[in-house]
Amino acid sequence: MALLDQTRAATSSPLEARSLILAGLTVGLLLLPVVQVITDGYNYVLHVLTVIFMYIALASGWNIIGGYAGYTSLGHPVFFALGAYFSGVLLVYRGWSPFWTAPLAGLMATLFGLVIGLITLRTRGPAFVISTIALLLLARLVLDNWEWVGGSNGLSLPMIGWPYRFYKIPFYYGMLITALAAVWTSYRIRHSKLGLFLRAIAMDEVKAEVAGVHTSMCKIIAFAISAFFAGVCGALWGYHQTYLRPTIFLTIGAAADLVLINLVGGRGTVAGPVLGAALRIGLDELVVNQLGSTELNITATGLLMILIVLFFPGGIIGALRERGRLPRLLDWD
Amino acid sequence: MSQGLQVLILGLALGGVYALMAIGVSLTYGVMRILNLAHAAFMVLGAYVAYWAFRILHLDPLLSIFINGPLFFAIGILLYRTLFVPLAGRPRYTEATLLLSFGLAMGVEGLMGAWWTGIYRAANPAYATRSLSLGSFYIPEGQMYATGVSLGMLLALWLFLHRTRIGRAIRATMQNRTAAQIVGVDVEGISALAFGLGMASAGISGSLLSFLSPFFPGKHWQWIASLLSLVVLGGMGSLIGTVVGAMVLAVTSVYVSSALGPTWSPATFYAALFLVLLLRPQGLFGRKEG
Amino acid sequence: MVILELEKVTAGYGMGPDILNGISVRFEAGLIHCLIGPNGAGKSTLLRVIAGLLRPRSGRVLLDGKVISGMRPDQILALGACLIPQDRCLFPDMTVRENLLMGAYIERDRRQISRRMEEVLALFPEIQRKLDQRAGALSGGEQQMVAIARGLMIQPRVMMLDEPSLGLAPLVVDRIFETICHLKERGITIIIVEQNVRKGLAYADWGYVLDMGRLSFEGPAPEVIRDPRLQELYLGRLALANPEVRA
Repeated sequence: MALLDQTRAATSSPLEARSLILAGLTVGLLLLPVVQVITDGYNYVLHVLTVIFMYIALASGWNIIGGYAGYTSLGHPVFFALGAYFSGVLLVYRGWSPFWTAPLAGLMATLFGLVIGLITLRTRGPAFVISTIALLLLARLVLDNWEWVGGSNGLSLPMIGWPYRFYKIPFYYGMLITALAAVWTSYRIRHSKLGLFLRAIAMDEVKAEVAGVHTSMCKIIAFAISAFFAGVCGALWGYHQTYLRPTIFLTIGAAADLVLINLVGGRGTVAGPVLGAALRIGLDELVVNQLGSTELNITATGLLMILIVLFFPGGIIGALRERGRLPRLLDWD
Repeated sequence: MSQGLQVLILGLALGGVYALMAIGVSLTYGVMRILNLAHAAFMVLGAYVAYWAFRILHLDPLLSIFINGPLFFAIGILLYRTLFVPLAGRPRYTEATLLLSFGLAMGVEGLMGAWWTGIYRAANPAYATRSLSLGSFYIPEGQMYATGVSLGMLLALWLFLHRTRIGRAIRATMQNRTAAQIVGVDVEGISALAFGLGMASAGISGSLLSFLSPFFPGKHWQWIASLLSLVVLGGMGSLIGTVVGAMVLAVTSVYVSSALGPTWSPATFYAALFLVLLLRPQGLFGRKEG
Repeated sequence: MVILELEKVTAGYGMGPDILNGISVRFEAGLIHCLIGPNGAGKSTLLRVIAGLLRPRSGRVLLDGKVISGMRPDQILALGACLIPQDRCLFPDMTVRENLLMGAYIERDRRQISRRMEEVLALFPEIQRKLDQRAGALSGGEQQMVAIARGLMIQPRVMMLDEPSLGLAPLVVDRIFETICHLKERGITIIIVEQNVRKGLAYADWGYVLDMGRLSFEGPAPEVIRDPRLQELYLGRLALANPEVRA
């Protein structure tokens, strides 16, 4: 802490301090597995962090269409599942490692997002949300009945051939890199012309169109980019789970998580999904460890969503910014 | 030929029930641009009320509409006043109502799961398993009663909307909210009423659902997706469109079901939705917005 | 006698800036008043505040000496002030008859309603024949007449019309303004907002010129037309907006 203060005092610009802290954090996270290798006691920490990274990547990706453009998608689990099944099938039938095919899985998801976006993003407003719910349930129906990929029984994947002590490490790095890429992409879009257009769409789509923004093009691009990270995460997560099953990937609950993470952190901000993912997974680990998983978790998730919509529509970032107390460290917009 | 006609009869009977199930979604969207994702969750809740009333009190599920109607109407007014009124005037209002009702749906689903577990349930009054035959055609007796009740309710709603002063005010608010205010309609009161009516229709549909098909808490997602699909097909906010959409999709899904197996019958709804968005995004009876 | 009065009214939309900046205006009973002024002067906003569709941020509105600001639109309507907004605001999917019935929404006595319907239709023979047509299918002029007829269903004492001539052919505009004069003869106080300055003031008794949310000046309509300040207001703005006009 004292070191932090010194750094802040030494550098005149707070922006520089922020970069230093973030760079430090990144290096720290990159080096963390070394501790595992030396001490052999950090598998659980690595696991939780891996899950957090995954949700950071998923939620940051979701935020591009759901936050910047304001188009709530409940269909992102479909891209997640697509990535998982794409890489999983290549692993089972061809023996190709998902670590190599994950980017391809992302591209597949992007392509699929492009096609779906062409259909569903022709409308403004609520019809899109409805179509994403339908997409999710349709995909579920297809996967449940497609025997080649295991149907509703699912598809078993071979385990990664690493010793137990280290087998979390590749997933840790995979998800960390994906998360960094997602946040970086989100940041770049936020500060680009596309980001400006998307936010104009979120505020008033008709006006944006009148002002000359090619709204459907912007939305479709945003949707496709957003799908990419879900695909990559799916590929890695499927391998990590060693088991693909429609009930794991294609649930409304999974879609709700992405929405909730963004709402908690602050949708439409760069830091919101990061903060939201860390909080959500951290809390989840605490609650599930303490109380076990029950049906009431669904209720709690629902109530949380209601409370946030009613009282903190801007999420944590929004609430802090409104009161002028948002630390520079979290202000990436 | 007679096989096709049989399917048509079943489809239309089913369509009548779907229309009642979806009309509430359409009404609340039309009057106040609230997209209630929790509609089907309350429908399933209504099914549980009817189920337990049947199991414990031996009350005929058809009679439980007289409990569910008023009960869900009251719940609707309460929810509207406490949850939706504070959102009024928000930018991106529909979006906010959608997220709110999404949370509400999960809240209800979790509670139902915690109280009554996730096992499949269905009320089984005597008529639920009987069939009536008319010449070479047959219709399940329960389905026939359910369709009768649905059509009766839809007719009552239609008469209320077209023949009464308050009903006319609801339609006026759907067509032009500002104009309704200008002629002195208390649009807030009308909105609460419309939301209550929508919820009452969910409760009544729940009574019918209780003996028509097995249900469990998580089932409502499938229902809401189907109902919303047919609402989009008909044109969002158009009541006539919703009824027509329900009929078209019910008949189609029964055909699909008889040709490809019942597994794929829900897919009819989703496929139709994508087709509509591709060909005519405003739906059959909708107006272009914006 | 003053029937309607605004005292230092400030108003605006949502979180936006003030559109009306402490404006004070008085309207005499039984006259035709015409509000004119450049775009954004606050004319329509003024009418919305009187009708109760927009709550003033400060100041008050009095009808017959009674404070009506803060009341709900239906309460103000019941006191006899009705608004015919710019886009007519009809119910497009209802028949003309239903639109008129909606006009009498706050009246519950059925006999009273049908008597007024007859009176109103006597005034507009054109729409008598179209009673069972969808309002959305009518021409612009017919829609404007239905809108006025709908307003008359509550037997208002003050009728506010926001740009009644907008988008109508000149002949139709004359017909509308003649109707308005006729309403004045029946003792209804009329307040018109008009972009068509000459037309509006030609039929009006009293003119008000609004600028930047304030009353710039007022006077008998013929004098307002000739007032050099009016030229200045409109032409001055024009020159600022298009530099080439100045040159």
